[in-house]
This record gives sequence, structure tokens and C-alpha cells, in this order.
Amino acid sequence: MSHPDWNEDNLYYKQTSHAIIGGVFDGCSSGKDSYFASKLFANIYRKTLEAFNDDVNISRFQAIVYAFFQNIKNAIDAVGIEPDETLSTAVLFIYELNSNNLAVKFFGDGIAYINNQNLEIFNNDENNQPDYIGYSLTEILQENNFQKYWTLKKSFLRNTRDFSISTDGMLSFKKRNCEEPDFSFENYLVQDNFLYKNPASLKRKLNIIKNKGYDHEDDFTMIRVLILDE
Amino acid sequence: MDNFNLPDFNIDFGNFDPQDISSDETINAVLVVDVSPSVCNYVNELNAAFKDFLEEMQRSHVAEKLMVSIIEFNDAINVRSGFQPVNSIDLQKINFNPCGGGTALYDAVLAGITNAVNYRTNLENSGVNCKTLIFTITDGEDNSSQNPAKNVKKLLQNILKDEKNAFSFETILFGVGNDSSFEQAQKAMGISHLARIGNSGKEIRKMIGFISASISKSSGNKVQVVF
Repeated sequence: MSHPDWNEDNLYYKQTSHAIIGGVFDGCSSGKDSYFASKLFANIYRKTLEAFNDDVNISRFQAIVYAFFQNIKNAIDAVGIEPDETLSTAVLFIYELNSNNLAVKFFGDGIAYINNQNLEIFNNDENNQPDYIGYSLTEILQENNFQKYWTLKKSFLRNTRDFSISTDGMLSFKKRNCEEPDFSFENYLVQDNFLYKNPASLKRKLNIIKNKGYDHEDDFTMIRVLILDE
Repeated sequence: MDNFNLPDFNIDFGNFDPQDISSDETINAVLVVDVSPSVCNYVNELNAAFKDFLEEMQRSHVAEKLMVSIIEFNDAINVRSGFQPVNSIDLQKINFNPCGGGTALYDAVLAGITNAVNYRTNLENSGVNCKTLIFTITDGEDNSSQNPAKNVKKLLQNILKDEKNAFSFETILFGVGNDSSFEQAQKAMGISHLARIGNSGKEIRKMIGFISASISKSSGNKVQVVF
């Protein structure tokens, strides 16, 4: 039985000399040991990127994701993981530091925020019933199928210096204390630059949001990338 | 934390800037230490054990989130250190020397709690959740304070009225030696726990061990006093 306090979300990101690459992963609550599925995906994504060394850019995004899927299949085959132990979403991104171009691809529910002059929100809502990668991995990886699958999945490209990638836990915030004034927690997380140099900035923002009477009902993970002129 | 109408001691505690804390939670430990002349019976053991304690904490798993404040008192209050990361405390500079002519126990405890509450409020406002432990070490009765014990008690009662402080704010009085007044002082100030300790080296090390264990255990969901 899963521990009720285990976070079923996970994340991975790394910075190379030319890019920042990463993703957020949300284990399906009705799956088996879903904290494991999201952690497995995050670790396999890390391992996949190691093989690409620093040679990461948007033009190679599809090849990276193909290798990621192939590595998931290899892991499943190697240790006999059941399909319902691999039910995790994946919202993946590559950000090129020289061009400031961002590519995001959704494999299940998730949200991306582009904080340019106006805040642009990409909410990939599959009603918590996404076509999980783990269900059809063998078919996806068959010849010619991956290209079709890649095209079907929601994605976008933007030029930006400030963006956030989040699991759908962002949508689960509820106001617990009605005596506190309303507060735009979403804008605070993805636009406000509070303690932006501090590694605990997002966690401290979350505590402040909780002190203002809000809390999230679903597990919540986000990555924010903010490029500032020093 | 709410505004508790805290007294103003006009002391600059020199606390660490909350903006520079790279954690979303801290354990704030206050050590209020009696340095009136009578502690000369055990001050060598206390200094040795205190250095061991700081060294142990600097190596421990809680080091990154442990903030320590040290206040000494005789007939006056002297802040040796406001809240600072335990790793930044210079062990060579912490040495207690018995001096003065009295024991301002209530004033010192009140000053320690007041600074703890002020700092905690600043931390919470900047998104850092806190657990606070106030350790007071004394060997005798108050005879010099300007504040009565009931001021400490009132402040502690107000702090603990707030539900979120109930499991994150603890106070303990270590009474060193045989003085019969410890229990009365604990009750009059409303301090949660009292531990009587002998003044031998072994007993002093045991007391410091209690403090270390309480701090380490408090890295979990709630503050825990171990003795």
C-alpha cells in the first residue's frame, strides 16, 4: 500500500553550456506505486540526457524523447515492471540559452506559463485520463508509429526569458481560510521574482501562499526558469 | 506569528538576514545561560560540553537549517550571538566567564523569547517555517530582574494559544545543582519542562546531550524535548 504522504510528482532538470532541459512527471494516483512511476521517469530522463552529453538543442528534441521512451521500455523489460507501475505523465522542455527559444511537449496533463509582456498559459487538460505512455509504449516504438505519436501530442515553441512548467497540481489550490483576502497564487509563483537567487525561493513562496490561506489538494511540482541581465 | 505586545529591550541581537537563508524551514534554538559568579563550580565543564555540542551540531544532518542564538546573563543580559547558522558560529569565541553580582533570570528568558518570536515572525513572513526551542540553564534563583516572572508566563501563554505554535515552540529549564527554587521559577514563568541536573562534568555533558537530542529530533514534524 502506498504511503499517503508520498509525493507522486517528480522532476528533473539540467543546464548544459547551451541549454536548460528538463521535465515534470505526475504519477497517476489510481496506478500502482505512482511515486515510483514518476521517479522512474525522472531518473530515466536523466540517464537518457547523459547519453546526449551537452549536445542538446530543440532540433534534437524528438530524438531525445524517442531515446527516453526506448530507455523506459528497456527498464520495463529488464526488471519486469508492470504497465500499471509506469503510469506517469511527462511535460518535457528544452530551452536554448543563446536564442531564448523554448520547446515544450506534453505527454499527459500539465501546464506551461510563458511570462513575456503578457502571461501566456498552456494548459494541457486530458481530464486526468491521459493516454499514459506506459499503456502503449510497445506500439509507440514500432516503426513509423513514433513520428505519428509525436505529431499528435500537444506542443509549442516560444521565445522567452521567463517560463514555468508545472504538473496539474497547480490547478488544485483551494482557499482554506475565508478570512484571508483573495490572492493570486498562480501569478505569484510564475511572475513574482521574490528571492529569485535563493534556491529555496519556490518552496518559500509556497509557504507564503499557505500562510495566506491557500493549499493544494493534489501533489504539485513546478520548474521556473528566469533569465536576468546581471 | 501575531503581535504579542513584545517588550523592547533595546538590544540589537544581530540576527542573520532571513533573505539569505537557503531553506524553507529552520530550527531556531535559543540558549539562555546563567554566568553569575556561582556557576564557577561547573563553568569549565560547561564550556567544554558547549563546544562539543556546537561541533556536533555543525556536523549533524540538521546543520543546514539550525539557527542558534546564545544569551548569557548575570545581573545584566549579554547577547553573545543573535540567531546565526550554527555553521557560522566560531567555537573559539564562545566561552562563558562567571562575573557580575546577581541573577536576572526572568529578564534573560524574556529577552530570549522576545527575540525568538520577532525572528520567527520575520522568517514566517518570508516563507520560512520555524520550530523554536528555548533552553535556559541556571543554578539559582532570580534576584535582579526588572520584569516579574508573570510577564514571561503571559507571553508564553499567548504564543501557545496560537494553534500552529502548539507543536513548534518548546521551552525547557535546566536547573543545575540543588537549589530548591527551580520548580517555582519554572511554574512562575510558564516554562513547559524542568530538568534537574547535577553540577558534575558527567551531568553537564548529559544536559548538553539532552539539548543536542532535542534539536535533532525536532527536524521531524514537531518540536520534541528529550530528557
